[in-house]
Amino acid sequence: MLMMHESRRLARYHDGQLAPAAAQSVERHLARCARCRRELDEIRFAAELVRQLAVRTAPSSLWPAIEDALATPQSPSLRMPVLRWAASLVAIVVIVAGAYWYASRVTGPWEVALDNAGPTRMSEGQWIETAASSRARITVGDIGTVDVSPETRVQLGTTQRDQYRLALTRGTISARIAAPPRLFFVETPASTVVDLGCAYTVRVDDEGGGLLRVTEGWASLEWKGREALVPAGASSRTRPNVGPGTPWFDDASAALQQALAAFDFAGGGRDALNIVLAEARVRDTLTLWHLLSRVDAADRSRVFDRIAGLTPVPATVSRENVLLLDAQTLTHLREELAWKW
Amino acid sequence: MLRLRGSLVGLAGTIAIAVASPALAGEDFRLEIGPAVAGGDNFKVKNAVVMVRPLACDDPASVVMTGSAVGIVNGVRQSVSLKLLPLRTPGVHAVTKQWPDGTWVLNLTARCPAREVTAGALVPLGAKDVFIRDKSRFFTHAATEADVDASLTALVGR
Repeated sequence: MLMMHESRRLARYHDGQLAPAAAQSVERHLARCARCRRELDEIRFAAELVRQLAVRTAPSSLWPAIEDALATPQSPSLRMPVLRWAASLVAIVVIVAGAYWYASRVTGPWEVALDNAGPTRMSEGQWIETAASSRARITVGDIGTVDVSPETRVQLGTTQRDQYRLALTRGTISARIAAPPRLFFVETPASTVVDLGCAYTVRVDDEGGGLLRVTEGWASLEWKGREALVPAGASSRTRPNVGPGTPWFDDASAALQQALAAFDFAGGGRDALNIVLAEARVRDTLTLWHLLSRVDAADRSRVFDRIAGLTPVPATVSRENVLLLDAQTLTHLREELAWKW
Repeated sequence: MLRLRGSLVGLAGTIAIAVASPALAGEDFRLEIGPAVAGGDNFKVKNAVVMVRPLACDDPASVVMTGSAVGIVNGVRQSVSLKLLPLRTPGVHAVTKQWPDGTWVLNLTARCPAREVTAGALVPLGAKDVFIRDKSRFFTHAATEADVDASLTALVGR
C-alpha cells in the first residue's frame, strides 16, 4: 500500500507544537503506519537522552573567551545578504542530503511481540528463538506480519529501502504480506523465499532442507539462478546445495508427489519423470511447466507434448521456442496455463 | 486489369483476416475462469475469488463485463450486484468477495460489442469461497434464471 508518511511533522507532534487538527491527523496515520511509529519512537528516545543529560555550570574561566568572541566584529562577507543566503542554502542542502542518506540506510528496527506480549523493538542481527510452547509475531514494516511457530530460530535482517529480510535457520514461519512483489525475503539454508504478494508458510528442518506452502498469491524459491514459482495451493521443497525442487499442487496424486521428490532430490531420472507425466492432470501443468527447463533436451519435447495433450496450447506459443527455452515464450505459456490452475 | 488486381488483393485480405481472427473463424465468444494467480503478480487481487476473461472477441478491451452473486444465506435467497475489477491485461477482470458467508453462485455476463454477441458463466463457490471449476457452466448467451436456479439447487444439494 502506498501512503504519505508523516516524517516531516513527527518532531513537532512529539513537542506538542502542532495544531489540534494536525495532531489528530498524525495520530490517525500513526495508528496504521509502523514505520512512522518507529520514527516517533526514535524521536522520543533522542529527546529522552537529551533530557537525561546532567546540567552543569560552566566554569568562570570560560566567560572571557565568550566575551572576546562577542566583541569581535563579524566577517564582512557574512554580513552581505547574498552570501548569507548562499551559506544557508548550503547548510540546508547538507542537512537534507544527510537526512536522506540516513533514511535510506536505516528505516528503523523490527517490531516483535513474544507470546502475545506487547511489541518490543529489536535490531538488525538479533535472533528470535522460540521454545516448544512459545510463539512470536514480527511486524514487517507496514506491509505485513510473520508468525513464528514454536521451536523456530529466526534472525532479523536488514530493512533497507522498504525491503525486509529475515533469515530462517530452523522451524516454521507463516508470512502474510500485502505489498508489491520483491519487498520481503526469507533466507533459508537452501534457498531464498521471495514474496510476490502472498501468504505462505515455510519450514526448515534440521538438515537445512525447506518446504514452502503458499496459501494466497505467489511466492518463489530462488537459489543460484534456479527458481520455483509457487502459486496458492501449491508447495515446493528445497535442499542445501541443490536449490528449489519442482513445485506441485497439494491435491496432486501421492504418486506424482513421490516421483517428483525422487526426480528432484534422489536421482529418480527418467523413471520418475515417466510417473509424473502419467499422473499429471490439467492443473499439474504447473509442475510440467517447471520441468521443461529441468529435463534434458530429449525429454523436453515429451514434457511439452504432455502439456499440449492435457490442455490446448495457444497458437501464439511456438513449440520450437519452448524447446529452445526461450524465456519470453515460456513466460507466455505459464501465463496461459495459469488459467487452468 | 487493375480492377481485377484490386479485387484479388481485397479477397486475399478478407481471407487473411478470416484466418487470423477467431471471430470470423467461427469460434464462439465465451468466458474463461481461473484462479487469482491468472492475474499475474498483481498483489492487489491476490485474494480474488476468481479471475474471468473473454475469449474470441477481437477487441477484449471493449468487452463489457457484469456480474452478480446469487446465494442462500440462513435459508433466504439473496442477490448481490458485483463490482468487477478490470486488470491491466485487456478484458481480464478480478472478482473479489463482496457477499456474506453462505452458499453462492457467481453469475457473470460479458458482451463483445464488435460481434454483438453475449456470453455467460455460472461459477459455484465451495468452502472458503473457492470456485468449483468442474461444476462451472459456460454459455454463449447470458445465463437464464432457470440456469441460475439449477446451479444453486445443485450446489445446495451437494
